[in-house]
Amino acid sequence: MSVEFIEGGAGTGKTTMVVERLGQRLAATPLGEHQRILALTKMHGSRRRVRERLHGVVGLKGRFESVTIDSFASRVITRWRSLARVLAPGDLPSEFDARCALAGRLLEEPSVQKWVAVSFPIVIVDELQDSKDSQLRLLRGLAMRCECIAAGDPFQDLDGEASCPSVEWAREQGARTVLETTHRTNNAGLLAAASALRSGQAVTVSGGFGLKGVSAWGLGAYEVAAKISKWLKLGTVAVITPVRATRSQFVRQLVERVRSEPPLGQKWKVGPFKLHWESIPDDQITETCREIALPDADDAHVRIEDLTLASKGRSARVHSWLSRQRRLFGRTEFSAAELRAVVKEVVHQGRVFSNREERRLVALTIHQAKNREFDRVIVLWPYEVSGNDEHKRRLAYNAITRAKQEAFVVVQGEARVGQLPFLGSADAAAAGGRKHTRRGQPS
Amino acid sequence: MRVLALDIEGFRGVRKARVVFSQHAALVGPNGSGKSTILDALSLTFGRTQLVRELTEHDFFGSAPAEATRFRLVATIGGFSTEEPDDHHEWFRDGRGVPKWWNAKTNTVEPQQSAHAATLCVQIGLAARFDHEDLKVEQLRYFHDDDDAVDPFDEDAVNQFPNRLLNEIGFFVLPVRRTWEATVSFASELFRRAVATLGGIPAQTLLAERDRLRAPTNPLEDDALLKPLVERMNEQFRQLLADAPQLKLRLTATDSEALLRGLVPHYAPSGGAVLPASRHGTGILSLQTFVLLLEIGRERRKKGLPFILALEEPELHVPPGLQRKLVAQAVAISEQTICTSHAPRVAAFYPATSTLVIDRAGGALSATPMLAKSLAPTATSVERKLYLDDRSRIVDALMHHRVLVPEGRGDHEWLRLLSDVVETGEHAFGATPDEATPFGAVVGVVPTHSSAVQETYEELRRLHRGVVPMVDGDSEGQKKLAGLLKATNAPKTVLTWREGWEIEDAVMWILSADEAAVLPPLNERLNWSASSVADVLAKFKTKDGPGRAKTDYLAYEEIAGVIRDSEACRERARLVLNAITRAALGSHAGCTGLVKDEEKSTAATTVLRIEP
Repeated sequence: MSVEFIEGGAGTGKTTMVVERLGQRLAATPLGEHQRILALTKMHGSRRRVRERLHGVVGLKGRFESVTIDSFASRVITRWRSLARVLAPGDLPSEFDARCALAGRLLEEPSVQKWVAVSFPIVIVDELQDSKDSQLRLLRGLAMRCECIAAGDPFQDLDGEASCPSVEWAREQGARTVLETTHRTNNAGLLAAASALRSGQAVTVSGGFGLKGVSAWGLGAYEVAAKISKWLKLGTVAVITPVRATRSQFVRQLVERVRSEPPLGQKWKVGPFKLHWESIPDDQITETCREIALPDADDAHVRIEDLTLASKGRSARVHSWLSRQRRLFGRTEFSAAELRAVVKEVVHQGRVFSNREERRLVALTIHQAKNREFDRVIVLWPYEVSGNDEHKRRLAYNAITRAKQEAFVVVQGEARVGQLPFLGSADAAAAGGRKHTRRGQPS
Repeated sequence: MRVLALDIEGFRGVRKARVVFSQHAALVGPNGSGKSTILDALSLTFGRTQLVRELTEHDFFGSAPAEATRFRLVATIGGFSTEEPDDHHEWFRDGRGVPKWWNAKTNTVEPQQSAHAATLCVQIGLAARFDHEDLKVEQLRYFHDDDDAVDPFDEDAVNQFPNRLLNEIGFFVLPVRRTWEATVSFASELFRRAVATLGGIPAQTLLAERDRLRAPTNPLEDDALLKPLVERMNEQFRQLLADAPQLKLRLTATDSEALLRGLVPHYAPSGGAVLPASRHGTGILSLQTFVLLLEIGRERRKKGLPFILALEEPELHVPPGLQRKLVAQAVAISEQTICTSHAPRVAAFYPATSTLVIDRAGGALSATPMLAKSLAPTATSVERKLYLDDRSRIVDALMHHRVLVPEGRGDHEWLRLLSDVVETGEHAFGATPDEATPFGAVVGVVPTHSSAVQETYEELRRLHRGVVPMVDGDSEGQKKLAGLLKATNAPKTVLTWREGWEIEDAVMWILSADEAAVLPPLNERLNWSASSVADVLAKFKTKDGPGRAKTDYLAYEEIAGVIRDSEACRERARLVLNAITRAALGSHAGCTGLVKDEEKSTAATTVLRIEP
């Protein structure tokens, strides 16, 4: 068993270190003819990031596979389903956790461990803190015969409690490197704010870090629009929020205002800005179903000619699935429920294979922003943020550490600037604001 | 390596079948039972596709595949050099196969290694579908992970089997369609493989030959007969073209390709002229393929590579004396041989444990080893006769659609002779059109040992669905009949001679059709002085003492000869054989000389009495 664990805060270069360590190992023991590197992550976002990093490594092109743990678990189960049925009688699971658990069970078998290790002598795990329970079981199995290089930061675990079992496990394995220096930014103000959030100290408004409490969404919109207009010329800007627009009126109306015409009244000539929410799979599924005119009733019978199928995009992929069904199985009629599942798969596949184009300006949740970086970040902090203080600190930390240059937090409620997680001083609120703020408030 | 098992689903006439192969296996069974289907299935699975016709709808069970119809062949391969999957990275890894374990006790594939399932194996699948748009059969070779209903043609459902690995298995076929003169030429896949295995094309020799052809010692254009024509043509060219080329006549296109293509095997008989292969008899040509295959096999084994040889009717065009020798050589060289044969002597070369009896009912094909395991020292004499001494005769009988189990060797001999009399010779042709299939074509007769009809029936019943016992009309015979009717797996049909009769009585009844005419030649041939057929019968009924003829098989032949010469006797013989055939086939209704014994028949068994 061999696990090397690289631990460090956001932007400390964990992935860079992983790639460096990988390079050292490959220099010592090159890959065999049919061997590849397996790179595992929980989320597609980090999977894409790891893939891009490995693409950059000389001699590794085509010699690695970067997949989500779930997809890897499915592969193991599919190939070993005969054995899976012996070890765990019953139908093969379709649900995420159960799949990982079954793959984990399979990977307790030496025969399965060896089978994987033959192809993948080295396994990389990024964002280890995100993988727990059933996924940890799977990783433990892999680590029995593969060399593992894992990177993670328990503080970036957004669902977690005080301690993270997978990080604990990796720490116990011995070989551990702790990275202290943040490379993502050299902005002292930003670094200090991140460090304060991490350790539960009060943040200070200085340098690249700003914090502002606003009493209403209109004022917030003004602050955001002002920042965007200044920052968009300098690089990418992300508006990051811990809660979805559907759950917070503050967030919803603020973003709506920033992109509507006229944005802030005629007096301040800024905007409107094309601030779009980054789509989530559910939205894309609903949208695609509407696009192809799929009936809502699950048991509705649908024939190909009932649907509006375009020749490109997701609709075209649904079309090609339908043609294949006719050609391979002679099927021409489907239930709406079945087709909805197909749309879901098409959307999912689209996310697996697309390199999401990065917009210069985008609004998204902290969960969506995980493991990504932007030049400048505006964090919206509405009333609806839930969870205990530790969780809030983690959320805020994750949000502001997405920034390479500057971060600015807009807190709903002026007084909350001084509360956890920020504990900002009362004058901090004033320091980041402008005198004429109130006048900018639209009616 | 060797093939442990083959599963067939929806291929040609087989809806579903599982064939388990021993290290060396002979496949025997009636025509159309599916022996060739099994060999073709193996050839397809292992990529020897040039031996199988292009796939069409007819390769699917029922010949009318729907869009979703598939045929699936799954071969289980074992015999890896070690039983540790980790030692065989080409076979077992992500993107390749998943290790499985062969349980030799139950003949099943298990997902987990255990004391019983200790043989490492891999499963290779070949699936095919008929495309209703381009009207072609699409096939796919893949690593078969599980028997569940996953469709290999569905996206990403399976991992494809790389063609490169097929060579690792080393499956070769001696096909029944042997291409004669093309075998030893570069047009033949087999020859090219042999050459490749043995070290490549003889490039130097070929190039030297090419150069010799380019600059012949006696060029044709210089020949006195051709020279005037060639010179006149050259003159014409000179007048028409500036810098005109000169005509030269060369054999072949004088490049290596033409030489390779032009290679024609010749054979030089001792003291005779060297003749091209096509001018020779079929014997040597048939052997060409075989000899090449053995050469490839020898070379592969020398290199530690596996070699599996499937032999399709190796007896074809080979003199009887050579047939067994040929098979023996194949067995000696190959890691595994799988042989189909219509020659009982060839099939009987394989022990009973390696002989698979193929039987097909509707779409269900079964392949049952003649004997599950080698005979114990405590085996009965009937078992010994069946599986050792008389194996070749039993195999012969099993190759028929119906297997008749009479009381003894005498019946076997008599019926064989009578069938010869009735079905061969001039008189055999132009038989009445409503007559059933000839006896010899459908009924195989077992030389039952020590009258053990029931024991023999029960042994053969495992192997063949069409086993029909036949008992004598005496009290002993009727006791046997009672036993058969009580058997747990009672026969569908039992034949019995009419009351008091055994085969000899039937023969005498045949002779008595023309008593006056047959007695003189009979007495002359056998140096007897019988005054009536009853006298003759007495000789056959006497078991001991002088003049007994019960087991005098030479006497049988003479009597058969006498029957052949009498039309009236032949007619009676035909009647008897026809009755047996119709009874065995179950089409007894309205057949002359056949009576259903209503009293003795049971729900399971129809008892039919031959009463001419």
